[in-house]
Amino acid sequence: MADRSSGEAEDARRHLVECLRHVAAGDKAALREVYDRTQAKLFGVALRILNDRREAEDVLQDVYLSVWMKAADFDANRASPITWLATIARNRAIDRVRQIGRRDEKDIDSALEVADDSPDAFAHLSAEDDRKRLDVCLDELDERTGNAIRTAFFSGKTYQELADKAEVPLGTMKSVIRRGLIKLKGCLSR
Amino acid sequence: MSDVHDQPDAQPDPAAEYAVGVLSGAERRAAERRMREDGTFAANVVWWENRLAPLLSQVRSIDAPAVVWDRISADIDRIARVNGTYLNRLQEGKPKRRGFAGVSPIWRTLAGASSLLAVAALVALAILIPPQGFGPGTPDGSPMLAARLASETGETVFTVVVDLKNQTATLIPVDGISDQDRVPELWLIEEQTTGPRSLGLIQAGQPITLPLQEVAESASGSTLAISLEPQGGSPTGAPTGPVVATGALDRI
Repeated sequence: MADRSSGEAEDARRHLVECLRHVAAGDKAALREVYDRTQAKLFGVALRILNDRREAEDVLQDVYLSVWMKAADFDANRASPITWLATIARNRAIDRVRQIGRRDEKDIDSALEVADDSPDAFAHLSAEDDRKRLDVCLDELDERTGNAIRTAFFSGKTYQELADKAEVPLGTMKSVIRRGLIKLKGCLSR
Repeated sequence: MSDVHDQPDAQPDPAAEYAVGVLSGAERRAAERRMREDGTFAANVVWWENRLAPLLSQVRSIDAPAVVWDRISADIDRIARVNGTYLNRLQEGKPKRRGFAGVSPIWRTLAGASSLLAVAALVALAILIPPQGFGPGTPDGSPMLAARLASETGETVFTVVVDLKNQTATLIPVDGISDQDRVPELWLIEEQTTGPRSLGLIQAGQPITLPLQEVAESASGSTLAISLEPQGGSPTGAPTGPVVATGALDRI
């Protein structure tokens, strides 16, 4: 079962790499294909950070225009295509939220807080062993640290915002996360 | 008390902090600058991004509304109209600025460019700068068009005011175009025509008024573009060099 879905993920990855190559050559239909296969994941990533559909739509538009312009920069040896795309979306969304300020979070869609356990085409975003290693390494951290890093990653919040939310001093939040990152780096490098 | 903040400060790792996303806007800009200048640092960021990527599989996928693709598609067509069909084909050798990367934000920033104050300042400048060999431009209410020509990174390079009555275009440089061998040439790309029309050579460093021929009010909505051409202007009558700035011409 795991093998089969890994195989499917590998096929999806290869297909996207091929599509991006065509996008780099100016093939708009290939961009549409990339869009169709990845927009939901990227929109989810942006929306989770921005908590504002219109802003997330604008970010998505910018992301795919960037992909149109910069597809030639994609290097399949450095990152998987979905990681590359989702990372662009995440960075754009974080830049946007820094620019406009964070919206009231009271009405954040509770669905967004929940991790996605439903398998989709990109449930296996990364190679299976990368996934397992990250899980193991995050689990090696104490619960508070692991949660702080996960929350930081999903929400794109600054140290200050994380500290405010957890009601701890800024210095504490920085220490927790920085120590966690040092441990995580050691573990992930093993 | 064994709380973490009683312990000595943990060393920051900006590459990891950038990838996790905890940095402020200014800190992110600093990290991005460092990524451009320091290959090891950039590689560290990518290392972290790849290591953390498996977490992305836990983010719920949500379909974006179909209109997003429509907007992307329209933007691509518009970009292609400016550079693809007409300019890229004729471009020789390697462009100095890799292709037209990053033109897209211009379309958005343009929207914010036409505040009343900015337009008023433009018109004032256009009137102050005497047209060369033509009757003085007068603020008599005759229709004028204006455009802000921005580079691929969104910086305004020129502002342009077109006086339809006197058939002149006044260009006010905002930011220099640096190219020692080539000269900037102004192009008008109208919706219904077959290719860019040269409006003449301009000077990067100083305001200039160009005589126009047969530019009508219908040019509103057209695109102006500046390409870099060999001394004396494009040898082919169509743009041959890299496009360094574009902008939409709007009625003011």
